[in-house]
Amino acid sequence: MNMIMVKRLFLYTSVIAVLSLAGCVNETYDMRMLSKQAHLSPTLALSAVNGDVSFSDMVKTSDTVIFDQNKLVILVFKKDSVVDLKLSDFAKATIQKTATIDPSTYDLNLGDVLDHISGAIRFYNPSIKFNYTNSFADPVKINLNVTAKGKSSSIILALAPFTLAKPNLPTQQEITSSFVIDKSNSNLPDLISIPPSSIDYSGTATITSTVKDNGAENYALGSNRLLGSLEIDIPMDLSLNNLQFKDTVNNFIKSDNGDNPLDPADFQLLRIKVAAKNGFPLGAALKMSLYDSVSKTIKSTVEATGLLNPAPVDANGKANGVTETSTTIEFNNVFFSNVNKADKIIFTITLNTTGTVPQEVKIYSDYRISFNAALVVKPEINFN
Amino acid sequence: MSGKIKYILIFLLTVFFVRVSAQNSQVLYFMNLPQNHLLNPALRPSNSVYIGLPVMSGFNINVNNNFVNFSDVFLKGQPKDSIISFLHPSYNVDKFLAKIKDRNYFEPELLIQLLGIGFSVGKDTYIFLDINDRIEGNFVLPKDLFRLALKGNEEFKGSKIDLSSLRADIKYFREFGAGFSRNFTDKLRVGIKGKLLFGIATATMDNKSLGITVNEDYSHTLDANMTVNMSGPVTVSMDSKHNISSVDFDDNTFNTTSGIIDFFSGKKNMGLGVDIGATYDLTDRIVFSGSITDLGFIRWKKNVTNLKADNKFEFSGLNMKDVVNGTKTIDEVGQDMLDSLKNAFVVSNTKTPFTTYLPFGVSLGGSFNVTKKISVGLLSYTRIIGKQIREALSLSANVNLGNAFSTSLSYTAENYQYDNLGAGLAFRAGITQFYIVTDRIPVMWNIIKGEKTTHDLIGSGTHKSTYNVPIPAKWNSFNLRLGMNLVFGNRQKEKNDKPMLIIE
Repeated sequence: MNMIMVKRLFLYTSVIAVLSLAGCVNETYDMRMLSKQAHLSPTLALSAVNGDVSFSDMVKTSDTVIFDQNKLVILVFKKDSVVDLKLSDFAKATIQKTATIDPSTYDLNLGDVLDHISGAIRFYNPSIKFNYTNSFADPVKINLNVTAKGKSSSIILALAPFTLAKPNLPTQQEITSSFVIDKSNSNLPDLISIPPSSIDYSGTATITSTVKDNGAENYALGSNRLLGSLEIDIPMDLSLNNLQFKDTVNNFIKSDNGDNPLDPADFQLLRIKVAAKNGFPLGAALKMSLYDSVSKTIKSTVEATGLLNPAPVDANGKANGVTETSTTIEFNNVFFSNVNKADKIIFTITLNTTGTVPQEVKIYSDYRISFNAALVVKPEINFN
Repeated sequence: MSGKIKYILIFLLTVFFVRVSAQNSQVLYFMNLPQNHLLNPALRPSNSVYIGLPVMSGFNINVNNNFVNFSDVFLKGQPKDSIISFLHPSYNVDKFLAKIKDRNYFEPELLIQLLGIGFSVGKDTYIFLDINDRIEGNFVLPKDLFRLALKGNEEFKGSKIDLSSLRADIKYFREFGAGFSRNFTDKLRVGIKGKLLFGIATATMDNKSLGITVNEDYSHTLDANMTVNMSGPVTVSMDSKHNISSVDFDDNTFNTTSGIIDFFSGKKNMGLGVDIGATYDLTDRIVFSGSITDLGFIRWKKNVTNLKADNKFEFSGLNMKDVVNGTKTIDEVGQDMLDSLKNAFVVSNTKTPFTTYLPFGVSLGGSFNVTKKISVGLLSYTRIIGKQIREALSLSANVNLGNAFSTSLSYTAENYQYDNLGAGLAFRAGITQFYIVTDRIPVMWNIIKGEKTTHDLIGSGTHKSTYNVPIPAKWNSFNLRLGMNLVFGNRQKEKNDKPMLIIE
């Protein structure tokens, strides 16, 4: 029995031995030589923001922005008590009495904005309405001197003196009326398009007495008064030719203080894909530059020249379609390698209206833009 | 056939299989072992009686996967002998992904035979009883999951990340089986085994759909229609918004002896199963056989949790309209988005009993008896797991010397592998029968060299030493069945039989 068992075991062992001899070591892996480098670098893409918004969603009507009955957007600036003249303000004279409108400045509070703007903007139909209440029975002629001050130049309104309406005595003790200053009687479009940060104004008001048949009429009483205010209306009827808005901010991407959880070195690629259907007759380009203020050099620039292309317009300058745009803004590893070498980031947005040569367009409150911005990120996740 | 010729034949078969570098099989099927009735209840051993002692009778561990191999995960690079992992920057991820299957499965199975009894009644009838504890798992990871992790979601732009094949099922149950086989004609033998099943614990995922569509604009549409059914000492708590707030293991179940017994008895989760099989002797030399095994179900009623999610959610980024028109801040819009996401994927938590079905197998075999002791066999085994089908085709050479000695060598094509060589050995010493069977002999090995640091028992010194660990070059499947039976008698006593070895 034992011999038989031994033979059986020998048989089986032989088989296994043959298998083992034939089946040998395929590879030897010395794990001490294993590279410690291990990483994951998936490309992740996610729609980040989207929207379908009209101009009226972006800008609400207010004292400064109104939409007229045709939904045309109009900027309105008002200045009360530009003129407040009583009889005592006029120099005593028999025939002509003259009062001075004291020099004053109307600050539009656009200085900060204008400091960052370059390029050409033109408003085609601005107007200034001089609203007044006049109780002088004799004709009052206003000679208004208006000068707009822009960033580096100034423009004179060049408005001819104009006569105010007078009350129809004795039934009418005072009259409320207005006088409109526009492109037909002045340089107003040029003045507004400078564009102004402030407007200086001064002038005179002259009363010319006339001989009356009825001596009962009293021409100039001590209670007579002229009150006037200005309303500047700037319809968004304009053209933009490479209007640039440039702003410099601190480099918020830099990771020198350790507060930023995103280290630029952790990215191989960051791409922003913007798709838009633009119903505005305005095109936009974006440039982002890493700037070293010490060496005064730009280290790297990312540019999206066709971020938005303008919508087509009809003969009246009204948009009559949408333009689809798809743009990629790519931040590659060259950009990321320069992030920590710059202390500032300069953003430049360039706007143009429709046309190869930017043409006159009108902005209406029901213009829409729909957009989708997606982030494509290729992070470098190291397990070392 | 003389003894020498038999030895030579075995040797040639061995050499043949080795030279073609192909191996594997379902070795047990054609062996003369009592346990082969687990694969086809019509099969009977040559012993008149067998007793499988608790636990010692045998266990079967089976792990199948179609994942990549060690050499795919670690690559020898430059300089010579340096090794890089698949996460190394210079490793070609696309090459790695090319080796990943559309559905990557991992199927661990463990069967422990707690008790086995089989005995012949009369000439033709064989009766058997079994009690087995079984743990079966089925996990499927879709290829898209690997692509997503390694390449990111941009890869799927304009298409869908299809995770509908994601599966995670595991069940632990006990089966009490009783059956018999007998000859209905001279040629036809039929066996049947009825099984009473007791479920102890399970977690099973019914994934009807799960996917993320990545649209051209990188908006994402997530859809999920899936149910996770659990039975076990686990408590899932929900918050007021029907989001899962915690998953806790219930320790109290195991605080008392009665609790432990109650848990492991599985008496409240009952099910039924059946194995049926037949053999047909076409001629004295040619035998066909077939079986269907593990046809059954378990109805789970105890400690049941059903988590169901049937939702769709579209993420297209933060809608800036409310921010632009000033009605909300961007933080509020972000919070709204998160709330929408949470609300979109609410999970219903119910306690409804559920049913799981066993993966069942269909075996079709044929054997040709070269001699009375030596046969060659061909076996097809199809395993059906829900909608998944696994197929294995085996060619085997078998030597059965009565109940004294049985061995088998087999080649199997399965698991996308065509180099599976299996072997089995059973021998009897007195009333004790030992057996060991493996469906896959790892012929090619990789040696893993490493270094370990050990600490001195005295003092604080350490020293480093190297170690070598052999691992199979291909690890797609691992199977091992071994155990010990008590066997009595031998029904194969034919006058003209000339045993190769004489049993004293």
